[in-house]
Amino acid sequence: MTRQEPTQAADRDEPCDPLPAQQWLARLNPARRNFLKTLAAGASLASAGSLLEFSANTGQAQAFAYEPYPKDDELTTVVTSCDHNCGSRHMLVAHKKGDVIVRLSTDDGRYQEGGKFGFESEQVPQLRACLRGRSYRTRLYSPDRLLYPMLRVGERGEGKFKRVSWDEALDYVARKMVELKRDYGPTAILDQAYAGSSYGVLHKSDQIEGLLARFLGMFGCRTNSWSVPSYQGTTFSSRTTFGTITDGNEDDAFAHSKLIIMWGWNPAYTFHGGNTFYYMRLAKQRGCKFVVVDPQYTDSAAAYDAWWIPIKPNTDAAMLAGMAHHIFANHWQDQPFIDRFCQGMDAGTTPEHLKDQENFKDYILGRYDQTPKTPEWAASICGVSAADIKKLAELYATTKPAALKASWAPGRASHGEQYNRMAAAVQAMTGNIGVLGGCAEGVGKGWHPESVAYPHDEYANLWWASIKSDRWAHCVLNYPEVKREELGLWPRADKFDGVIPNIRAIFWHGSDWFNQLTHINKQIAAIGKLDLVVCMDSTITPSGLWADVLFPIATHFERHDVALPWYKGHYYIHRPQVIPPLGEAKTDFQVFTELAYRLEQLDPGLNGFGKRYNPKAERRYFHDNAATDEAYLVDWWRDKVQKRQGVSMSWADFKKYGVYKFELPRPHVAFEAQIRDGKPFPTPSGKIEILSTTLATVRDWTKTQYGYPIPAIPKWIEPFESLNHAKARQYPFHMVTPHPRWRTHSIFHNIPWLRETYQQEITVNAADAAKKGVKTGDLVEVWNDRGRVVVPVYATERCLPGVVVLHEGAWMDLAADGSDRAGNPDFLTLDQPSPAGAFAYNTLLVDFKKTTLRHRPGWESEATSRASIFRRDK
Amino acid sequence: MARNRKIDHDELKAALERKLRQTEQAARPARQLGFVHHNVDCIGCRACEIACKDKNGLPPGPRFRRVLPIEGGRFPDVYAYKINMACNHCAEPACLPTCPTGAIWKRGDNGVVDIDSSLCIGCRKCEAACPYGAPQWDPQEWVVKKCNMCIDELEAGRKPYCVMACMMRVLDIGPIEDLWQGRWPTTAVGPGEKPVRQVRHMANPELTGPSIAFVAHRKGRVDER
Amino acid sequence: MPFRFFPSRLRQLFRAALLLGLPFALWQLWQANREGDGSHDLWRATYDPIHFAPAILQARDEDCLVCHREVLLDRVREKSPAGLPAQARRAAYQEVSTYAGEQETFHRRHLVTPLARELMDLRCNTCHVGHEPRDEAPGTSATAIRQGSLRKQVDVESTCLKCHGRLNPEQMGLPGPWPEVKAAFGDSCLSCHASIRSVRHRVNYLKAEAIEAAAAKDSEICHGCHGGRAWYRLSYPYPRHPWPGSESSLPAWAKDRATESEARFLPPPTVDRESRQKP
Repeated sequence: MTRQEPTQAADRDEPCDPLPAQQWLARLNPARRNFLKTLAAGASLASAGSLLEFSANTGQAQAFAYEPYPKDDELTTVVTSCDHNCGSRHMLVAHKKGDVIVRLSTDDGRYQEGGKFGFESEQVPQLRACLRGRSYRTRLYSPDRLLYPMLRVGERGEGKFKRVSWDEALDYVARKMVELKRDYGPTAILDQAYAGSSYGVLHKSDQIEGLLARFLGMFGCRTNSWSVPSYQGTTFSSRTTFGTITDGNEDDAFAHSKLIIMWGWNPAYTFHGGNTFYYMRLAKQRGCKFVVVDPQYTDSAAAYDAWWIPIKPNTDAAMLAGMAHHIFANHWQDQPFIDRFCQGMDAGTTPEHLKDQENFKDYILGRYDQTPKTPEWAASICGVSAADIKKLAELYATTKPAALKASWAPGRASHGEQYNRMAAAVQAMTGNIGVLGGCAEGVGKGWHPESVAYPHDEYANLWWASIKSDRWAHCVLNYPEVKREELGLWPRADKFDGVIPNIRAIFWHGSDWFNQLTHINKQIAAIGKLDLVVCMDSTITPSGLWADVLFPIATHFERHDVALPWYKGHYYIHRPQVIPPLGEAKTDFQVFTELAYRLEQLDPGLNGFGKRYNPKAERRYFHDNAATDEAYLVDWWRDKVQKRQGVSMSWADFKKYGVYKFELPRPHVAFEAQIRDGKPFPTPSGKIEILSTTLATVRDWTKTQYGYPIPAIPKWIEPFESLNHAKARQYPFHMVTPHPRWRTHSIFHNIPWLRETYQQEITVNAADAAKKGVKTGDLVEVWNDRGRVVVPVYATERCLPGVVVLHEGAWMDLAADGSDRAGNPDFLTLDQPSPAGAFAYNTLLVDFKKTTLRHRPGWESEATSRASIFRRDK
Repeated sequence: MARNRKIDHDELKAALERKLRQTEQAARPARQLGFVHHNVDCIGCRACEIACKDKNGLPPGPRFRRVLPIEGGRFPDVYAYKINMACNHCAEPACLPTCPTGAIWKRGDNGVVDIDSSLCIGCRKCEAACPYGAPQWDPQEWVVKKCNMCIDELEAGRKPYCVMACMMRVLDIGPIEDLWQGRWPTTAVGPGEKPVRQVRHMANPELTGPSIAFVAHRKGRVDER
Repeated sequence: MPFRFFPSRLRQLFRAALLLGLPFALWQLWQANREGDGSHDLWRATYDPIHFAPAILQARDEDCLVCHREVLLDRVREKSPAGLPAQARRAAYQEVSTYAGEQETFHRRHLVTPLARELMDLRCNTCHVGHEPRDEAPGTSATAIRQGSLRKQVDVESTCLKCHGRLNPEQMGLPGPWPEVKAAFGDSCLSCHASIRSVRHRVNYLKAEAIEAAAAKDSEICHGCHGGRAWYRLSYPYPRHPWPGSESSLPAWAKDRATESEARFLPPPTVDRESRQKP
């Protein structure tokens, strides 16, 4: 095997094939979309599909020549990783010939110090990639790759673009930025970066600590989007209760549980967190019992042979309250634990200065509202029988150690924070915190990686307004007649406090938020009012079609970085530049740096912006970034990884092996130090705050980022919409919109390999389907007040009656009648965030019926061999 | 592209001779390798499928390895499990004698039913004959292709791509007799579990003697019906 | 190769598209946006009722061939990718005299070659009785689990095996495997089966009389289907229809056999020679 020394300089091996990269691309993708022509055909994305049809099925055969058949050991091996926002970061190993990646494999134990084929242990597992990562080659060489800068020429959203030079695109954006800041002030540009396209330590797109935030902050014009779509309710709960979102164990801790309750959690779909799903298999082999509380009998329920408790969506807090009641009623709570570590669990743990506040136990027992939260009370709300609630409560309270994994999904709902806080209270009352095999998650971030190699300073998170992320359209449409609490405006100590942002531009950096935020129809109304929309991505995304400027960004195969898991797992994977960027793609760091240099020429106030933004770079960084990127990474390794984390491996060795795996002496368990050693929790009181000191002292909720009251203890609060709501008479089905397995949010939706194994479909209980006269494969239209989508039905016994499931992330495909033909549930979701900021992704009522409207499964989805049968007579 | 390759007459001749030897009697391998899969612990993620497609350079359409989700019961008493099959590298492959050109043969060393698709004329008889759907039609190259257990990886001392892709470590290979007897150490089989030769809905193994072992779901067992 | 999918008319259209450019694109767009236009909708086609029972059992071949005509049109390659001419090499079963003609695809060999037309009356739904398009699994929880194989589309056990099972010499009372002992029987199946026989060919997908006539002319004709080599290691599980003069008791090895074909395979009464001769 030719192991490549994965450095920039050594990245040239014998040119086995005389074809330059561009010709290879053409050969790999004879079906490459003619972008201009496609988009010129009309606003509807369907036009892409129809124009493609002739060329598409001439496509893939040549891309993957069966003969000659190069063996792995005849190819150059480069260790890298997958890159997307699943929370894990599994290894990919590129096997390439010249500058063409011939195939990908994954961790097989060889690519670490002292590694050999097949090696793994419970402490040092292999980091095997999921199906999405394994399909990466088709994403890299996809016809949907964005290869050149583009400028919009038609109306916004019409999808007409022209190819322009980098100079023209950069100058256009720089000029508009200066104008917008001058004319509308420092809140004119909305930062909608997300962790979609480039999650590494250096080339980082991220909502929280990405490159865009520092760029706009240093520029002096930025409205921040503060609520995280995935888990804001859960974040609120973890911060409130434990004072941190690092409330997670490492994945191997799951192997030590005796009972795992997967509350709305489906690791078989999300692959969320290192090897979590595998360690749970080990737990099963060691006698662990599993319970799934979920409207669906998920593949996780099947694989772990779990007791399935189907629950009405958004009623989780009620069921947990019922469990808490049963535990209190039987005195199964761990009272010594409560007395020592909790605040406000009961009267005895409520400090003097909060005596006027409600405590959790008395709320559960009904002392305040005369409504004891009995299992029978809970059953009437959540649809789970009182007997099952009692059985689960007893099982959880009497099995030690037991992990109640309160996942994010039920928290992505109206008052989702109450579910997570209720779960944290139940975790605490049973003493399952800080012990191996227990669980305090929550957000569940475990081991902490050193995550930032780019210059991170006081500019990294500057903003002049900060709103709940899914309120931007509401803000733009109603400006200035909008109240601060409607936006969840974050308070400030200066003159900008309470000032409604005048949003005139959006930057999408590694973000497909136009496709992914709630209530897309409202966003469509709002985006027309903007002056500038910039999209930076490696792929032509559905959001990109609504932009004014498209910047082609190099994928992680085309630039130098280090991958890290941010959720669970403890390792770093080196990501050398495996191949040169395709087309004219540049890294995001190059684009921001170049923009900074151009901005300082337009605006004298931005003195030295380019150099300040990227201090290690020279002016020519846009054309030659190798040495600078290497320098940042070397510093990061030396100053952070080696000094702070005690790693002795040299940077050179790390690059040689490809991966550094930390070997923890024992599984990392959150809050072990607090429970074992009495270290205070990072909350105001130093305790687990079931009763929140901070929330209890709020006087004017409109002046907080929440806008509306939040109780100081976890409580059951009726959601905006649910099956118990009067609106259910008009819209009798509660829709939930979980993560699919075959996409990471919207990424990979266009990958034919994945599309032939899964369909975007609406999961419907078989009895409900029969009532509606539909069966699997029938097309239905699903609608509510906010929108309408067309999607096929999957009728199954594995879903709670009254609930329908439509996975998030399908690439929207607007028809002339305003309906979406791809089945994107965010045409139906509610843009009303929960007070704590949780997106209401799982709080929506809908109805559906059989339809004659056309379904357009999506770009490339018909480019399968079988499709040719139906195309021959066109 | 394969069709432009120059004819290697020696190779052709060898293939034809191999054919003559094997038509009436498939090779009896020294040690038959086969796949083993845990039907319950499999999360059905299809990483194996995609890894296989990438390894073998397949366009959309042909799938050497297929994860088949089985589900049943009535709400709320439901069950679900996965059956994961590629080529079963049968003792008596039904595909082998159908092939007019000798493109398919069974290897004497490890019993892998191998195919040289460059000898395929696209008559698709093997595809029809296989009780398990292993031979896959590639409509773009107009030939049949199938799983060869990543013979190049086996020869390099490694395991097939699908096995090495399995995130749950529920798919493996091994000497099939040892796997059936439960004496082959593998992560696919948990402590106290015993693999079986057949599960519900799988074609009768007596047809071709497939080299496959499954840890069956309780609803998938054939011996307890 | 991909152009093999398209009739020449389509190729012309494609060239026209390149020439006409935008007008063609607009035409395409118009096509794509027409509502409910099933002919362009793979999804609707996949889930068309014709693919499921009961419609598939009533379907005429013409109904299937509207979309699937490549089943009959597609021919084998002239040469394999490595250059092996298709006609250069034959499998053992293809060496029997009755297996004449060019190399043919599986479907053509069963449906439209001269031998197929002479002896058989196979229809699409003789073998294809519907399958679960979501996956290759037989049904879901909502549609109930059907019996059947995991294999896509066709269960070989209930179709192929009826003709292509193993010749079991013990069962047949032969002294050894047929290839070894056939000389002793004059290399003719009919040396025994002229008298010892069931009415197994009397099903609507076979032309029983034509088979009798063909076998009388050339005893190798039997090998055309039953093979110089058995495809499967199980013997034929066809129903043991009683025949005139047959013993009333079944042999031990046939105890669990059906004595009647599936209703859908029963021949129409008018062509049943037995019933016509009865009065």
